[in-house]
Amino acid sequence: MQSLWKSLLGGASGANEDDLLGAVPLFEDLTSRELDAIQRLLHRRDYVAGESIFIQGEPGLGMYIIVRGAVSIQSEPSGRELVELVDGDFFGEIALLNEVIRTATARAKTDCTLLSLFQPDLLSLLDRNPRLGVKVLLSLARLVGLRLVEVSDEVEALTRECEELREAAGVADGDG
Amino acid sequence: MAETLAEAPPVEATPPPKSTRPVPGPPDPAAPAPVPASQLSRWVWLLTLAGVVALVVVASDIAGLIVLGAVAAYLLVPLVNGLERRGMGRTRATTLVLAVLLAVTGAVVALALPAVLDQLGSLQARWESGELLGLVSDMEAALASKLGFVEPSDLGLVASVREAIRADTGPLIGYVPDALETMGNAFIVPFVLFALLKDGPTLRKRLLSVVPNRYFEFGMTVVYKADAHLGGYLRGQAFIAVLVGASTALGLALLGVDYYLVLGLVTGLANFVPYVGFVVSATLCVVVSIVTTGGTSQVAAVLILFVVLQTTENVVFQPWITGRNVSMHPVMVLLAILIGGRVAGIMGMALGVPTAAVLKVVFLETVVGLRRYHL
Repeated sequence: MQSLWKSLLGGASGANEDDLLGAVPLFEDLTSRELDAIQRLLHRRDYVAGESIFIQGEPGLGMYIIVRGAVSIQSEPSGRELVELVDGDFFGEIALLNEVIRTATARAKTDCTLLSLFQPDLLSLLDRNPRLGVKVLLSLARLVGLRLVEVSDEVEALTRECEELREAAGVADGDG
Repeated sequence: MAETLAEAPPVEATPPPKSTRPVPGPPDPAAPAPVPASQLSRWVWLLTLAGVVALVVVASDIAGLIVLGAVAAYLLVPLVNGLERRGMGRTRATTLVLAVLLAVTGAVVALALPAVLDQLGSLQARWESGELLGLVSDMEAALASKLGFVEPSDLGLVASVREAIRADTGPLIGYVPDALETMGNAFIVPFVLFALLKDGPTLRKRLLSVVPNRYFEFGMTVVYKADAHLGGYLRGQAFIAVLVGASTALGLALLGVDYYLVLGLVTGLANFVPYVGFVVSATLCVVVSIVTTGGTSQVAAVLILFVVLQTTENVVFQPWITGRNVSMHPVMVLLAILIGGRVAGIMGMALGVPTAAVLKVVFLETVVGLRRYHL
C-alpha cells in the first residue's frame, strides 16, 4: 500500500536534497525527521536559464531555495544585478511571513532547480505541527532580525555620511 | 529550546489583507519558457485528467461517490489535523478517524434503523390503504394557494407521489435491499476518504507541480483560496444540517407529529439545498401531519416550527458560515441549485452551491491575480 502510494505520488526525493535542506540557515536546527516533514511541504521547480522566478511588483507568497544553479536578483526597471545566488542560497523569505510585494526580480542565470516553501504551507504546518512550525518561525524571525540589524547599521552609516556631506556643503555655502 | 520559545515574539499568523497596488512592471522577456524535464509527469497528468472526464461521463454514479468521499474528507480533515497536532502520525490519525467514523456510523445505523424502518413500515400501511392519494390531491390546491410563488407541481412532490402510487411500486421496505446494495457499492467512499485525508496535501502538491513556472505562484493562490473557502463552506453546511435535522426531529416529536425521525433526517439532508430544501421538507412535514392526523390541527404548529428554525438558520448561522467563506447573492444561489439539479439531480442540487462558490473564488482570484501578477 505504502509503496503503491509512493509510486503514484512520485514521493521519494534525493538524499542530496535532504543534506542541502539541513544546510539552509532556516532549517539548520531541525532533526532529520523534521527535515522530512519540511521536505513534504516543499515544491520542486525547474527553471531554464533566463526564465524569471518572480518579478518585482508582483505579490510574493513564499521563499525559494536553490538546489542547483545560479539565480540573479535584479532591480527593475534597470535590470541591474543586486546579487547572484548559488546552490544552497535562499531568497524571498520575507514573503513567508506576510504577503508582500516583491522588491526585486529573481531570474535564473543558468538552468536551475529550486525548492519553494509557501505561506499557506507554512500556516498549515503551524496548524498541524506547531512545535516544528514554531522552530521554523523562530529561525525566520532570527534571520529577519539579523537583516534588520544589518540594515539599520547601513542606515546609520548613510545618515552619518549624509550629515557630513550636508556639513561640508553648509561650510561651502558659508564660504560662498 | 523551551525557554527560547517562550521568549519568542508573537507572530502574526494570518496577515491582514492588504490593498496592494502593483507597480507597473516591464513585460517578462523570458516568458514563455520551454518546458523542462517534467514533461513526462505532465503527460501522466493529462491522462489522469482524461480518465477523470471519462469516469464522469461513463460512470457518473461512481464519480458521485468519489465526490461524496471528497466532501467527507473536507468535513473530517480538521479532526485528522487535530490528532496530528497532538503528535500522532498522519497515517495513524487518518486510520483512527476513519475507524471511529465507521464504528459510529455502524452503531447509529444499528440503533436507529429499527426505529426508522418501523416508521417507514407504518407509513407504508397508510400508503397502501389509498387514503393518501385523496389527501395529496386536496393538498395540491391548498399548497398552491399558500405558497403562491411555488407551483406544487414544480416541487415534483405531488406528481411523484401520484406516479409512485399509479406505478404500484412494491412496499417501501422493498427499497431497503437497494439501499444496502448502494451502500455496498459505496465501499469506494471510505477508500477515497482515506486517500484524500492522508495524502490530500501531497496530491495538491502534485497538482500544482504541473502548473508552468510563470503561473505557479498565481495558481497556488487560487488553489489554496478555493480549497479554504470550499472546506469552510462544506463544514459550515454540514454543521447547520445536523443542527436543523436534530432540532426538527425534536420539535416534531414535541408537537406529536408521527414519523419525526424520518422527517428530521429528510429535513437535515434537504437543508444542504438552500431555499428549495426548506420548502420541500416543510411541505413534506405538513403533508405527513395532515395524513397522519386526518386534519389540519398540527399544520400551524409545524409551519411555525419551520419558520422559527429557518429564520434562526438564515439570520444567525448562514451569515456566520457564508460570511466567513463565500457570500453569494440569493439569485445566484437559486440559479446554482437549478443548474445543479438539471445536471446531476438531487446530488447536483446539494453540490451546486459549493461548486458555484468555488467557481466564484477561482474567477475572482483569477481576475485579481491577472492584474497583480501582470499575466
